[in-house]
Amino acid sequence: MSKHKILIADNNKGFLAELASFLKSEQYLVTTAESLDQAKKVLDKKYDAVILDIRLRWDRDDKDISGLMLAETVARGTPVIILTGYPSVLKVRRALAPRRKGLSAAFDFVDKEEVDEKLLPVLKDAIFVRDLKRGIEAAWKQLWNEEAPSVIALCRRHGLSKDDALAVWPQIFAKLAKAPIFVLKKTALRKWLIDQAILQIGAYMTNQRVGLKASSCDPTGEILLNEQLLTEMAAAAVDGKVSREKLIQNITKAIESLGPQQEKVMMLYTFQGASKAKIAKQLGITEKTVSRHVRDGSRQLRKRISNLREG
Amino acid sequence: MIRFLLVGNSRQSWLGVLNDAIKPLGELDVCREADTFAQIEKANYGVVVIDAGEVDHPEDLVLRLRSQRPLLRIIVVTSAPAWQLARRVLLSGATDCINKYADKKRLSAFLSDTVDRANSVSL
Repeated sequence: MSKHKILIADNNKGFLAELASFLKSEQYLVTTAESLDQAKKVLDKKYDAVILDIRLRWDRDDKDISGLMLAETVARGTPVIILTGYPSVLKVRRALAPRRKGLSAAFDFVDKEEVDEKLLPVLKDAIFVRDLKRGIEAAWKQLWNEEAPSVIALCRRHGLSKDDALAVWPQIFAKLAKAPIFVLKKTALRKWLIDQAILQIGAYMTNQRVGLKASSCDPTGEILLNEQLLTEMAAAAVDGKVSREKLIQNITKAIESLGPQQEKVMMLYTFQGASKAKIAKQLGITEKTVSRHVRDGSRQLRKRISNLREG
Repeated sequence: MIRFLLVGNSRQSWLGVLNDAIKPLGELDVCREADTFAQIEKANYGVVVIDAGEVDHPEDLVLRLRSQRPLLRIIVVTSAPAWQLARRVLLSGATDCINKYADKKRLSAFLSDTVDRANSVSL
């Protein structure tokens, strides 16, 4: 049962009363403000989320964006949902585009005509995401409960056991906790999680592999993370002549046949999805050298894949 | 100098405007949607401009680019501006969503403003 505190500011008294009543019926603790001045007065209290109409001065003034301006003053960490009966590209940009410090004024933007179906899910997401950012355990547990099945299924598809999947999961969370703020917008969260899961599974499997001798390892479970190589592998596999395992074995062999430094670069680049800057820093070489190794290494891998295709 | 990448085969006339708008800021490369990720490996792009009319699901492309390059500035341009599109791409991590202005000065001002913005803040 929700006991979250919500502030709603709207100068349309009828709409405000209706919305407040609806949210109260959903067990929210609601404070209302009928004007810009009133909203400013009550904003110094703490809220779990703030819902602001854009036109707080006068509904008929199409230049009135006082609600948007007020959103920019709301304490960081309190999600703001912008509500309006007059949506436009300009207003969405003002609300959601990141400003100079990288933060947007609002968490989301809802058209008043869609309030019935959209506001409650957006509000729940806003509070959930805020809790994740604050590291509140219940939110992380909820995320685990909701997303664990799809992540475990993904791990299984890549040949990992359930135990391995459970070992990968904290790494995904650790990554998420350091993630840039944009990925924590509700629409992006789920897709981003799966993307991160694929990266972390790849890194996990590479680490497992590093613990074994290269010659004795079974590379069939490896995941290539480099987009270009993935595309080419897929192209080679399309005709059905070459199995995925054989492709990966050949790529692994090709990487192992490179010089020691180039091999390290290609391992990090191909299997861990590390950036060139990160590889350069890790190996103490210039980015230019990393680029050269990647270019030459990729050429060799492409050659091996095309040989396979021809064979 | 900043490197810009335009994703989508925009019309030549607008491409000319974009090129002129970018000249004071840096240089422009162009690629198809399918080549985006291969292209961003080739150079250190500071800004990716996505032509929403030439890409199947601009918000998905924004999200994937953002996952791989957290610091990249991503601008979605459209000749059919709609608040719903702007909302979707901004929630996916775009830095901005603007009209395909035919006025190079105006376009240049928008691009310049976007370049100045930091897009990612760690929690």
